[in-house]
Amino acid sequence: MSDFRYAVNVLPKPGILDPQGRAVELSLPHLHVTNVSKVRVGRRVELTVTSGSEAEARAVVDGLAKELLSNPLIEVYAIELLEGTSSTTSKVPAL
Amino acid sequence: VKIGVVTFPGSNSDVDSLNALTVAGVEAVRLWHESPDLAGVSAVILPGGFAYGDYIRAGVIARFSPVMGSVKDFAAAGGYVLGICNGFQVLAESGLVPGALLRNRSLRFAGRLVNIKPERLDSPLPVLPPVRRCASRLPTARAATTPTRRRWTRSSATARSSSDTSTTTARRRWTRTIRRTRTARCGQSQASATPPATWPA
Repeated sequence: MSDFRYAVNVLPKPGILDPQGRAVELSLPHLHVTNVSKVRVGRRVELTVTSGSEAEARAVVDGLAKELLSNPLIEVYAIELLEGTSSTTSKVPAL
Repeated sequence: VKIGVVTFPGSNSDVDSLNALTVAGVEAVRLWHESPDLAGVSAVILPGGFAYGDYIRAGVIARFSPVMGSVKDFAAAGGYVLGICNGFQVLAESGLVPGALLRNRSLRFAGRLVNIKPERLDSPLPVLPPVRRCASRLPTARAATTPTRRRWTRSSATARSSSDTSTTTARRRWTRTIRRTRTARCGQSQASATPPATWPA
């Protein structure tokens, strides 16, 4: 068994109104920034899966991302395998 | 008639709902989120509040609680389920009503009187005498709303199908109880409410 560390990045679907992103964008003039646009605000979840194989671990993360971490009606997600994946006997970087 | 009110960790209008049911002359039963037992109730109320802290998305963690498995089966078998405020968000996340809720476009909390109309007259809610008399205008308070067509771009297929089925009545995040609404709008005695004849046995 090994530990696999993943990040799940969740963003509002393209075309879905993102009031947070818009609020950030509207604040930019206060910082005298004029060349930034199309701000989208999402969520990043990091988690460790203990599993026999990477494919198995990824399937678990994919299921979680679909069911719990994102709402497929309004959000999209991307799964990222992080560095530092190791066996259960070695130390996983603590949060 | 026996009606159950679910308490999730973070529910805060469960006691209001229980009181309102008692005042209306209905036997009110507390249901606990960790127990799949619905105690043989005729209807289930998911009350307002902040179930599981509203983490990730409001309502999504509550969706996986043991009681919701039973509520889904209950609804599938034709049982009545009422979601108020956060309870409505739980319904949306559970797929018991279509669509999803987004933060208000303004990012501000909105509290105002809104005009509502019953979408279905064969549901027991509009036939509750106080609702039938008073529900043309209700006070609402919400941080999130089911998007209407103008909140989406027209290119989104999901948005179109969602707005096509949008309803006016249920999709507001209510934080006032019916009891309070009744008093504010109609100024009538709460005790005059009678349970409808149409509840399932």
